Amino acid sequence: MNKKKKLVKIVSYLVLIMIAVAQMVPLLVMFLNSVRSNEDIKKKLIAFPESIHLENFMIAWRKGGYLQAYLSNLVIGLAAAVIVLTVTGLAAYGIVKLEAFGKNAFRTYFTAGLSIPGFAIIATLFFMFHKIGLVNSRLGMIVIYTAINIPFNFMFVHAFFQGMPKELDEAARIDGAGEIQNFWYNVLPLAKPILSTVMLIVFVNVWNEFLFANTFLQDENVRTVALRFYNFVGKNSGDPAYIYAAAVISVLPILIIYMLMQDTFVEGMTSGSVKG
Amino acid sequence: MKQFDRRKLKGMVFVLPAFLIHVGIVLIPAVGMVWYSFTNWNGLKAPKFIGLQNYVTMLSDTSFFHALKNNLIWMAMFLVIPLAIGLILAVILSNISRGQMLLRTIYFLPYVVGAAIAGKIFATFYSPYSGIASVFKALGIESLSNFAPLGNGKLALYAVAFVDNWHWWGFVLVLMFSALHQVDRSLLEAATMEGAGPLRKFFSVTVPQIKPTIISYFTFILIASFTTFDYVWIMTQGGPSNATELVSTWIYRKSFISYEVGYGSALCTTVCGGCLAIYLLFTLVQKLRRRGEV
Repeated sequence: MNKKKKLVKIVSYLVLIMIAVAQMVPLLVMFLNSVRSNEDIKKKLIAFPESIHLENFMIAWRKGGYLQAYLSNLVIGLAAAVIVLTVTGLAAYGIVKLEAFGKNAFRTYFTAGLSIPGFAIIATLFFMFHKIGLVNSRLGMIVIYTAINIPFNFMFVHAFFQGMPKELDEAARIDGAGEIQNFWYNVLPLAKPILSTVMLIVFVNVWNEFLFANTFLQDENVRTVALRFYNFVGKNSGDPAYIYAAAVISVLPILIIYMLMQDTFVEGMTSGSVKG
Repeated sequence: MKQFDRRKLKGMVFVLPAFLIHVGIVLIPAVGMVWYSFTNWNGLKAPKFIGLQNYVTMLSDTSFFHALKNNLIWMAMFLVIPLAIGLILAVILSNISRGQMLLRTIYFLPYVVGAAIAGKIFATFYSPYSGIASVFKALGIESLSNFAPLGNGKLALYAVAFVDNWHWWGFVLVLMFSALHQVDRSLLEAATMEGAGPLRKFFSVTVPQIKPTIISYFTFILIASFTTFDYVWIMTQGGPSNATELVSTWIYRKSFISYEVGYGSALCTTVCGGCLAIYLLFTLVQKLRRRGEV
């Protein structure tokens, strides 16, 4: 029996590790190829670098316009994250703590809003924004990303507020604190962990978003990282080394944040999304 | 009492910013789309009401039905494959003691890589000039030395789905893994005492307990497979010659490339209506079954 258990354990680990390696291979190839030469990659897709070509990164960074793209993403991502955080925090506070009029209707609305696909709105929104000059505009993207990130993050913050003890608010109210003060001094400090999660989710979603960015940002100067990369590949298809270097530049910030905050990522992104 | 009402009113004011932003950017354009589906709008000129004409055109749009078929194939794949991989690995993972978190982190990692990056990296792998083909060539496998699935109408859809699955199953694994954590251990032990084998235990004890998570997964996929867009657009734009066309890419093409926004809206309304119907039917069945059980 014991021997059998040990065997099961060994096989389990073997399977798990082999699949983990397989899952990582595409990214490993990307990292390795980002420092190889174009000729070398064309001869053989998978190999260790014969010599290190760090200039690939300089070329990709400059050709791809990544300085501007990083700035775009920082501005759009942070602004959207802060606004989403503020409005979903307020909304969840209003519904959970103040028991707003129509709270059930609001909750149903946000739940339903979660499943309205980008497709159902993109054409109408595009021509609407076109009219008022919000196409090719960072402000336009901030507004869109704020709106589409509201439902998920509302549910997330809402669930957290519901789990918080009521006594605290009662105490604050007796002390005569206004709702804004209570929200700011009592609720927000307790909700700190959830706040960074919301910021993170929105920032990463904006970084990776493709459909809206591809439609609304046609002007080079406002394009986000994902879109810059998408266009870079189209223009440099003969130079795979630069493509891999550009890919590394495009994904590295997210990978670093992921490595530093994996639990926040995994829990934030999976909670409430597909779960019933 | 009055004070209480004032509080509720204040609460409503707190909800309004989030609500109004979402209504303005999502709900109004969504309703607008339904209206435009009855017009000949091209995005620029004033739309003219043409009744059901777009819907009539749709019925003879073979590309649309071809795309719909691809969506069904896509759905069939994603109902089964990521769930099977995710669930099986989650079960194995929950039975080991060390390295759980590290492995979970690795499996989940592709999920944080954006579609544009994953899609284009794999497209480069699939390239006949500098991709996997060169590996086959080096290995002396001549029959695969021209391996270029994205250019092959029979393989392209599966080659794209492979990438989406690579990105997605780790997410499913995490969902299943946390669902498995809530499975009642004592029931499993009882089953072991009565001599149930591992397979029997899995299907008779574990699966019934994580059923809600599995059902939410199915519901999600039923809808998501009709709205999926990124990977196909990024890797093939629906090509070669419509082989990977999905309803989403077809609608996108109609709205933004040939500027038949009214027609695109009609297709989109149909697809969204279909998704809504599936969703309602699913929740209804769930409710009836739950009532039946009680």
